[in-house]
Amino acid sequence: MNTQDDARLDAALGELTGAEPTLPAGFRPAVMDEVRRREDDVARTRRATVNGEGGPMSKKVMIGLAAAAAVVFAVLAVTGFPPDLGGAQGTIGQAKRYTAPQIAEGDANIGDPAVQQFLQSETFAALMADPDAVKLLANAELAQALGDQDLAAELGRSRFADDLAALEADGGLRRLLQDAEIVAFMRNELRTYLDDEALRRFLDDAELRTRLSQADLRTRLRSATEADLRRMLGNADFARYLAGRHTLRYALADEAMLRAMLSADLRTRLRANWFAQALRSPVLLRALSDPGVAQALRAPAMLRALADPGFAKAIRSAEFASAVRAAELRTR
Amino acid sequence: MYLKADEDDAAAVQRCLEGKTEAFEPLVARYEHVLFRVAVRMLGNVEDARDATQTAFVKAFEHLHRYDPAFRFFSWIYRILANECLNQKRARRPQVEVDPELAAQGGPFEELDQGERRRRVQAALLELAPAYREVVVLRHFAELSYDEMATALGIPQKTVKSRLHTARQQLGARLFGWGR
Repeated sequence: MNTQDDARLDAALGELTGAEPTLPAGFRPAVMDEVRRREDDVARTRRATVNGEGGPMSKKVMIGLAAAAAVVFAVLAVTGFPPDLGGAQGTIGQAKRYTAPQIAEGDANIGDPAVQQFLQSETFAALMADPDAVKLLANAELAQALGDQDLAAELGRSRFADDLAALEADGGLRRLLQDAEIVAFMRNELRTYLDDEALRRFLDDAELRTRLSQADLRTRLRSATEADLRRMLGNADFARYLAGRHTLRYALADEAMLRAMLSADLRTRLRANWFAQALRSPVLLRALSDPGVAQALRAPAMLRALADPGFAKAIRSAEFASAVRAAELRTR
Repeated sequence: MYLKADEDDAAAVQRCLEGKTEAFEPLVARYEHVLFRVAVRMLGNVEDARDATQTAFVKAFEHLHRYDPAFRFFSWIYRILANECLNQKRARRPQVEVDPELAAQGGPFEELDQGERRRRVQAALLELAPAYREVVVLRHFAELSYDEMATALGIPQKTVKSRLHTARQQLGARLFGWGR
């Protein structure tokens, strides 16, 4: 075939190009009518796929995505992610803190100097003077949850308070935590995923770490992950929550953050009992959906208290409980 | 040339997945003409092409949750249309066929009247195997670049070029008696 032949064939094909049939009138409205007619069925199919009813492949994909979502969500929603983004130094520090011995029941007693010191502090006085904080602490179960020293430390982080404030401002958190599917996911499935050997292998995969270190792939992963999360969860509030969080974008875009997400330290933290308990606690979930609690948690007095090492011990003491009751009576 | 609006497409898909069905209309508007043209040349019949194009859009809407935004929307919907065209071809024989008498005469193509030339080109296209027909259709009637064709067909550019070369040889043989 030479150039002349090529030109001859192009001219022949050009005969058809000049005679393109036009799309029949009313084509687009007909398509849209058909699409609208199937709207409900399609919505049901999509929900079924999200819920793992779409056959073996879609369920497999869903589980994989849910596992990824669980990690991202868990890290960002509860820990606000470690603010010390650096490399090994920050990670080692974190690991050290979280392997510290937990408080035993007998540790908190009236004679404990740490408790006495906290009860005499300005922080405690400010806490008792804040009606929102008192109301929060008057809930025994919630106070106990806040008394966990690790959780208290996490809640005391400023980023958590900022995120909480942003979420609370548009009512997104309340709607999110009132959604039965989301709450069930957090309470049940999340725990399963965190215990899942396949997920641990995924996070431990050396090739994945290498690939994540490539800028191009990271960019693609970022957009794909966010889209997958939105699609998988199919919940408009949750989607807005994930998409709108600067920390999510930051986490997925930042190499140090990705390294940290894949670190052994993080995996240890995700599997820690206090963390799982906190996520599964219906009291905490209910409390976080209450705007009053959210406000109380980010009150300066509460933030100072949460950052105080004596708080976790004091909150379990009889003296502390008495002081809260007295303060509650005064504020009624 | 049809693949410049990837970001708009991804946004429209996302809105559809959030339950805003009307967001699908811009996608129909953007691709209806090119997909219809492709279907006409693949099927050789306007009515069948209309049905195939409409079905492709409806199926795309039904399976939007399976669309991977890492890839171009056109590539994805084109595959749906191509499968639909193949299904229709299996269901019924092409209605435009080469007139055996004309084919046997083998008279100079350029001496035929325009209507007959068009009919013979379309018939020659329909005689190509689907894998060859689609490269010709995408290149000449959808005006895609090699790169865009490779993406839409899910094959390497090298394979696209090689298939196109073979397809054109076969067309030339049918229309002009090349290789005889």
